[in-house]
Amino acid sequence: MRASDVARTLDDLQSRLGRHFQALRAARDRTHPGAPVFALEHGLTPGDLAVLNDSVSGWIKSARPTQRLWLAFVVYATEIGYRYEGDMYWPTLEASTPGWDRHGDREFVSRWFRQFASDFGGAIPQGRWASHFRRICWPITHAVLPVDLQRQFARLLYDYRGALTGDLLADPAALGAALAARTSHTSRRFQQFAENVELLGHVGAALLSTGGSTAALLDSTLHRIVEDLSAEREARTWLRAAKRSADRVRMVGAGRDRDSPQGGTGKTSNTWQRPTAPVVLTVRYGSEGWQLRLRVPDFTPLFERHSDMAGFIRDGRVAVAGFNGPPRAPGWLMHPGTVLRLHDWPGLDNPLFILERGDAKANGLLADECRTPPSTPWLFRLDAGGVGRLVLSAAVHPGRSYLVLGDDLTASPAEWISPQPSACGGASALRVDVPYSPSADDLALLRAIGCASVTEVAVDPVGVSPSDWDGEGFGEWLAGDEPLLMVSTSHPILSCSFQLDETESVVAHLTDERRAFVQLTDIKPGWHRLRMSFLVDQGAVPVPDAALDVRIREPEPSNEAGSFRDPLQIRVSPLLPTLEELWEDRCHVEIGGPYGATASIAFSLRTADGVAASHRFGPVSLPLDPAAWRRTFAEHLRARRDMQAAYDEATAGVIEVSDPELGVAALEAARSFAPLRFGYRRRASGLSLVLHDAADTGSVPVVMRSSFTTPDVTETARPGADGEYGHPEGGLFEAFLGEYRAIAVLPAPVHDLVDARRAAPALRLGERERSANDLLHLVSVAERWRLATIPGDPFAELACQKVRDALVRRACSLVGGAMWASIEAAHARGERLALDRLDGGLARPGDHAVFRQRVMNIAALATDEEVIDRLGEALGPAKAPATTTRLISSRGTRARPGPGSRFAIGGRWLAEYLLRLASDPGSVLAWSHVDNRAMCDEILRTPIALRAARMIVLASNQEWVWE
Amino acid sequence: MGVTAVAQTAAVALVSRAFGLADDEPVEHLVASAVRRAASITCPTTAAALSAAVTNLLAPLIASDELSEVVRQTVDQLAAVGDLVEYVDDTSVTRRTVLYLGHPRFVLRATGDVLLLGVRPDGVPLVSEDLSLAVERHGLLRRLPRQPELPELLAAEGLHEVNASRWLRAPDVTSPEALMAAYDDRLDRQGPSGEIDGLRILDSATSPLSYRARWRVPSDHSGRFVARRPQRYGSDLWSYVALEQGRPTHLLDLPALTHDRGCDEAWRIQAAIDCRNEKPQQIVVGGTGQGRVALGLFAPPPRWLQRRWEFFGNAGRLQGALFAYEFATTDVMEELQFATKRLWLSRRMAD
Repeated sequence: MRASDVARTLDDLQSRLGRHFQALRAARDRTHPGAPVFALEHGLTPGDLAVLNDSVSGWIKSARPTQRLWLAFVVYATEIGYRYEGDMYWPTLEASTPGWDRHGDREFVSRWFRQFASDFGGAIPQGRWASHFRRICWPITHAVLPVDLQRQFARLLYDYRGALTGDLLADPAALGAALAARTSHTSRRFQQFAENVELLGHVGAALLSTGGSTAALLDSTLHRIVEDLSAEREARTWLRAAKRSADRVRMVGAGRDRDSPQGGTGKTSNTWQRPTAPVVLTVRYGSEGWQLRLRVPDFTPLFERHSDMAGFIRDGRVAVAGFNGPPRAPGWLMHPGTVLRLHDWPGLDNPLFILERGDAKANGLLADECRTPPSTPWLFRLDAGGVGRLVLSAAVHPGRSYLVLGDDLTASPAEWISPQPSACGGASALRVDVPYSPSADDLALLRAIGCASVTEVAVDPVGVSPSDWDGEGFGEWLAGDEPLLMVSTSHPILSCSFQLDETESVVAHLTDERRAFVQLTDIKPGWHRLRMSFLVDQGAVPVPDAALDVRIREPEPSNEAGSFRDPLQIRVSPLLPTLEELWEDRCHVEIGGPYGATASIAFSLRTADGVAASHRFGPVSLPLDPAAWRRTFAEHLRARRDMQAAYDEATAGVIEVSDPELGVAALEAARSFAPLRFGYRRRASGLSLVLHDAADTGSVPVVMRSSFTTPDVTETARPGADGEYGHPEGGLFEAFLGEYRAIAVLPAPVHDLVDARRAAPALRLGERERSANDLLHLVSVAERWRLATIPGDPFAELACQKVRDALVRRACSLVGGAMWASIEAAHARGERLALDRLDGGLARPGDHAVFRQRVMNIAALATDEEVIDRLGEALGPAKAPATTTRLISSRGTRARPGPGSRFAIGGRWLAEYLLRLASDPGSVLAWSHVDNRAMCDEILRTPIALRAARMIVLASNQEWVWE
Repeated sequence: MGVTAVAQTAAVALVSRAFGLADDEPVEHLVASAVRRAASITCPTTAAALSAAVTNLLAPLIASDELSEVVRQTVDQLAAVGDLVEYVDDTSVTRRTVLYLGHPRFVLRATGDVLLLGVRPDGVPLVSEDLSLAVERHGLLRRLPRQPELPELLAAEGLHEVNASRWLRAPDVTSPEALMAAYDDRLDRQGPSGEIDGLRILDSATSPLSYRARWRVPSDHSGRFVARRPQRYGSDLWSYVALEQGRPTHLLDLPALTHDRGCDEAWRIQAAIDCRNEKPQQIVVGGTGQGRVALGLFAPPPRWLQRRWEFFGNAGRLQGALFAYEFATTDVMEELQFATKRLWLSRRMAD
């Protein structure tokens, strides 16, 4: 096309698009006032679009974008946004637009999209994602539903189809909130898309609509998205099924209406204000007696109301009341159904969970949702499997068995009440087998041990199993259920009156067997109360009114990695690891399954073109804990050459665990999606680095390099003519751009033994003073080498490990002094270090005798799980009170004074700080959230504390992996 | 939204409809649906807890002294076909058999129809609304008749195809002596068992024609027996036990040699014992009157046999038999030989 033809064509398209979007805005105001217009709704036919694309490409070959043709460029940029993948927007644009490198201008993208928003009420990007990806957020938002997200969206609608209601379909904002709350197991990229809740709701409502004026999206655009989405069979099936559910909901009218934000019409009880299910507390008999356990609830309803809570819960570790182990890993609360044994009595009316990184509001919300019962004792109704379920009302039934747990129980003199061994520290247990016909004395005994009352009327579910039932006053069913209940009694009751919330009451007469059946119909998700009153025979003792709290919930979001009900599960922390985290061992992976069962494991590396490498092995005995997974992954997968070769350009890795009997669990880890990141490019001569800048701050990134021989020294690095970064000796490259940072290791090319020796060179760390500044500097350098992305090349991993080992030795030598430095030097030479020798370096003979003995015991005997707690006890409490977060951990502050008394924070936290510093100093800064300079000062003043931690690390001969 | 009083007689129909069943469907379909629903909410759990929960839910609807036994058998059978998955948990203080949800999957039959297996959590239907309208229930199994692209449609809904030969994997043919030798060897290597409370044995001296009546509390029995023993919580455990004058000397927990369930190994051991005692268990052959042939057993079939017969035939009835399956006349000889060779059965014709 000639330049003049290009200009004329674009002028025509500009005017046509202007008229189109103006008309669309007016139409939208009539049908969906306030709903945004998207640039993807350009209304161009495929032929028109091809002409526009050719014309814009033709223009850019010789000229910069011009304001006169801004709408054509907006549509062009949007079309790129519709089909790009991951964070590769600019590379895709550049590849599709010859001449962009000479005439392109990123600035126009955001400027003209803003104009689109102002002229036509165009969509405005929202969410945290939009603030990090300042420019590309515009064309991607206007692409409505980019192709690479369509499959996940269809799956989300499919999974949620059973909970659709007329109200939701008519309210895109509510639909968006409901869908966004269920994205915890989708990819990070999809979660970022879902941050724009309004857009999510609009697109969802449009996809589920019947088209025409019912959708807040142009018919042709909607049709196009559905067509593209339907190109894949699975996505097509999911969307069709979801759409049919929506059609059915529309056909029967409003369908099940959703509840008020508080859930139910709750007015009388605090529990009714809670969107989340109560944390289920159970007891089960174990080797040491009755264990108290908690089950993590599904927080989806909470996320629906407080979308920011998902981030807090996903990203921060959580301390659990009564649990003596370390805080649970980030994302632990995102696995509903996870069961945790509580070692100690967690106290009354206490928050069960405290998020380490949660602010006061987040922890306040969580505390409101998840608290221990407010009064003692706790009554558990025992089932046939020997599991006891907490009875909230503390009421008992004749003929049933219970376990009573409390911190101040006294045994009662009755055959049917027997003391039981308790495996919950600070609590005692009684088993109560309530007589079928309790006498007045029996009733008095029951009252004495704290049982509220003996109920004379039994309410039981019939036919369809409730999703939770405490047997005495609380029941939970699933959305769509119409609970059927049977009321039975041995008392002379003639009839019962039932009232659900504030609806009209209904009277049911009892049958000859003194039973009555009632059904709760068309009941909304949320909390409800069924009140019951009883009419008794004349002269009979009146029966007091009773109530049943009813909760209706939606099914938990599905998770391809398996839920706790499935025999196979893949559990990871962080919840959505990136491919880099998976490959570089920077996440915890556990494969859950029945003890003794076996399964095969497959791992595949994928690119946009399909599977680049794949390997299946097994059978492997289940379960696999994180350490076993690490070994398995290293041996069977990371060591494979085909995997190493495919890794650098892979966009995702997929773990699949399967067995013909047990089924399949799968987890996908996508390549990290960051505003600034390095990617690898493989050439015949070796690897090089490409810096992807999607932050678009307007500044040029600064890139520094450190070599493997002097890893604490940096120099400026410049890209080659091809824009790529490289160096014959490789090294660590770190890019800075405002608040963004990207770090990657580039290995030296290895073609022969000479190269191999060069790839693992001798290290020379610079001289350091024994000061907090220099110690902190070493820790920062270690962090850099820890966070760096590593390619599939095994030499890169070895070289990095060597650097990290040298840094930890240097840090400990710096703090520990000359004697300890000689121990570190011996360790570097590979000498075997006996405990006596390590002990000799800990302190001068006779000094710190008690502390030394305790450290010696830990180094010699403690199991991996015990080390932190026991070192915390040995260090003793701090000079100041511990932080709030520590208060709910029962250990760590009760030990006798030790070196910890020199620190601002002592106990378990100090132990973890020191052990991190002594094993992987690069893990300290992001974890600690304290004044690390002050900590370094204190450590330098009390070197025996770090020497002790290092002694334990060296004696343990294990790999220390910190989150 | 409201509350409605319901007559007891109408309650069964309400529950049936809640499970998507017609009002006139057999009660076994109602029980199976109730078990699947309860499992979808309570798993992982023990068979005893699941059975007790479902029995309590159905007791107001089904007046039968045998309800708890029917529910227990239904749980066992759903675990046998793969709707539920059973594993022994040796890690707790008591050896517990734990039930998990079977993963959603299907087995494609040569006829093009499929067997649907598995249970989704939280009562979510196994297949979408459109497909679920076509689901047919045969005994405890759910089948979808042949239709275009059925495997692909099921795969799109997240059901994995299980290779039929894998699902039907059965033990190799062996002699009863060889089987017994393997278990005897394992039993000999166990330490002294001591007293075992509540032990019951399958008495090999009794007639194999009455399975339930064969269970005994040991008195002066000597020899080696299939046995069960109770535990405080959970289902009774299966074992192979050596007795001297009624006192246990050695005990081997089952399963010991395979990945089958304890009961599957126990029932095959008993078939071998009966054969070795020259009182082989019987398989009875009879016509159904509808052009098919029924095979009946007098003891429960191990999982591998139950799956096979669910796959190639249909659950049926045959007078006197504890379990019966019906087959096409073209298939029956092969099935007869298959079972006879692996359980050392003797054949007889139905009365």
